[in-house]
Amino acid sequence: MPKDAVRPSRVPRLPLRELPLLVLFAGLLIYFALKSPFFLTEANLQNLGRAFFPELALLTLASALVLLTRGIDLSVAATLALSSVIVGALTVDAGMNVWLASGIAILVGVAAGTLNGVLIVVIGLSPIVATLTTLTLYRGIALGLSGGNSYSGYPPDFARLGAGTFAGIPNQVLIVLVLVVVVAVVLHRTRIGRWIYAVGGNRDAARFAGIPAGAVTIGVYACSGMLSAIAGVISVARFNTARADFATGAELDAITAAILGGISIAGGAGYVISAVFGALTLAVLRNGMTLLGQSGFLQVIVIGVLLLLCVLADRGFRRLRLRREAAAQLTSVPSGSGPTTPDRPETPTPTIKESL
Amino acid sequence: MTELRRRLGAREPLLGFVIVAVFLLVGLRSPDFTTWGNLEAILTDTTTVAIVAIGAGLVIIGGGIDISVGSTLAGAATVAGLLAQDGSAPLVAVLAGIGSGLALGGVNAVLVVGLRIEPIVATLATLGIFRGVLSQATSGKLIGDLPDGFTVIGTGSLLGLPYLVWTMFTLTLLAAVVLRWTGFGRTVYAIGNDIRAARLAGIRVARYQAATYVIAGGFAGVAGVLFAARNGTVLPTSGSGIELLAIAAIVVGGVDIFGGRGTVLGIVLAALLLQMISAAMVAVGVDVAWQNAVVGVTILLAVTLFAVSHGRRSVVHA
Repeated sequence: MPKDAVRPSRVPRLPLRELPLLVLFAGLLIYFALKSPFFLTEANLQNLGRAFFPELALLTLASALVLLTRGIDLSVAATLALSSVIVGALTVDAGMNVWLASGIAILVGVAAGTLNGVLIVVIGLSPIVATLTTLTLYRGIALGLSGGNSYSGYPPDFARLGAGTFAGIPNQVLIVLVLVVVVAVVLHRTRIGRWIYAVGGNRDAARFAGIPAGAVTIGVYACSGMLSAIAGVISVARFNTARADFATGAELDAITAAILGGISIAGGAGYVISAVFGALTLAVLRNGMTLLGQSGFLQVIVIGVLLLLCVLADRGFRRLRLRREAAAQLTSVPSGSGPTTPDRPETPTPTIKESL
Repeated sequence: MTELRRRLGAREPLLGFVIVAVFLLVGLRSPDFTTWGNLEAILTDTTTVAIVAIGAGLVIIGGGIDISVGSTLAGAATVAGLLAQDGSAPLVAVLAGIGSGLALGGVNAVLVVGLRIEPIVATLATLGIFRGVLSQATSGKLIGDLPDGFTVIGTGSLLGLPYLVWTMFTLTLLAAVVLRWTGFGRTVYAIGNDIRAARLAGIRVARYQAATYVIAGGFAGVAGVLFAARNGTVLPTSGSGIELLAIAAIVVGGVDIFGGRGTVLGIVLAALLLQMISAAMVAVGVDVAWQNAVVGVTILLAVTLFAVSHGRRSVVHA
């Protein structure tokens, strides 16, 4: 019975929530294809898959997981930088095997994420405060370790991780796809996944249902740290160097991508696959605008405006859906209890939240 | 109000004590640290963050959050700098700078209160948009060669204290008085404490929340003008990342991130403490590269200690 009560309520599988994003993505593809003859060439698509997409996708995946539990992780980009510097310090300074160093860097990422989770769950800090603080701390450690210098010089087989392809697809894109599938399967096919949605939907209800909400939260932050650290290793392989200022400010892009992808910042609703699609959309936008010679600042304006528009569009659709569901319930009242029981933690709290 | 008074009896004296302790202890190791000149320099360096943090703190006390203040600061600095460069009267440049800060705060208010977008999302977007727009407008160029009549605001002093420090003191006093002793201030606390109760009590919540965003923009505007006057140059990247320092000061200063609690004095003292620790690290000879890490650890220790000593507010997440 409690096990049953934990299942996230079914978000209608209509693409309604993702519709604005789909329209945007298609529009961008058409626009850039028309504007730049170079956009749809193999070389540019390789570049898109190598330079614009993978790290952003991993950071977005990390942010999305945390947002699902109704938290926020602002330290993902700092963790990326920290893990990349650790790869560099261990390989270049200490002469360690680069793959072993990468493994250690990923463990450090897990530790960094776990610290975030502990600060939030055990100490009781709010996620914003905790991860804002560790953002400063992790990037500070990266800067301290590297002394502001960059670590260059890695063995060729490591560089292939960043420059090689498999069946024509950049290696790192394949890594990202595998990780996305793993995360999605865990979220939608395992009990832990249902726990994550339940904790984000209604923490107290989840706890009363016997879910170890604290452990789930810490675990999610640890995963976020791990994914960010993997992104750090990929960065090192791609640039063939490691620096403390890698991905400065990328946490904002990652959160934007997740929200574009329909992840609710009120927790408990959204699909990580859509979030990664949001990352792909941002990557296309940045790639296309760069091709057209439009500056990074113009890109930031466009991304900000798109974020606002997507949030507004999402709310419009949500109202529509709620109205439709209300109408459906009205017509189905005589038939009795129906498929859901009323005391279940409904996942997408119809939250036009007391917007604070 | 009793809650408020209990807080006042705890956080601010403690912060004051730590500030004095750091100042004197570092002085034992490097006597140059405990001089009037150094204290003056530390106070001057605190002004920008402190003024930004007062405004952003008001938003948080009222139950919102504004992470766009660094970009607002840059916008105001650019407007004031451009006008001063073109030979406008300093007063005109100052007022225009503050005015543009208020206007940008108004944009946030429209998004958050008018369109009801979650504050962190809305101000995350405007953080990028404001800075992007001003970079486009100035083509990313440096604004320099500001006339002396303008830069004297940032370099001059009165009765031995820089104008900057006087401004900080005045704004601190003003904000503290308004928050503690006016209906407006008490209403902001009430909204941050429990928005539903405030609404049921007949408070026009939207109006007050909108006001907090506009005021935060205004404070960031003042900070931007002072920034331009002090440095003599403005870049599109000026003041980026200051929102993190401001929020650190706000939280260390005892403001509850979920609203309803905290004082202006606490915020300003915390900003001073963070600045003093940065200065202390230079004086003690901490490797420059490690300074950010030390600041991070300091903030972490501070928020953790306060969270533990004040008991947890159940485990709340937002």
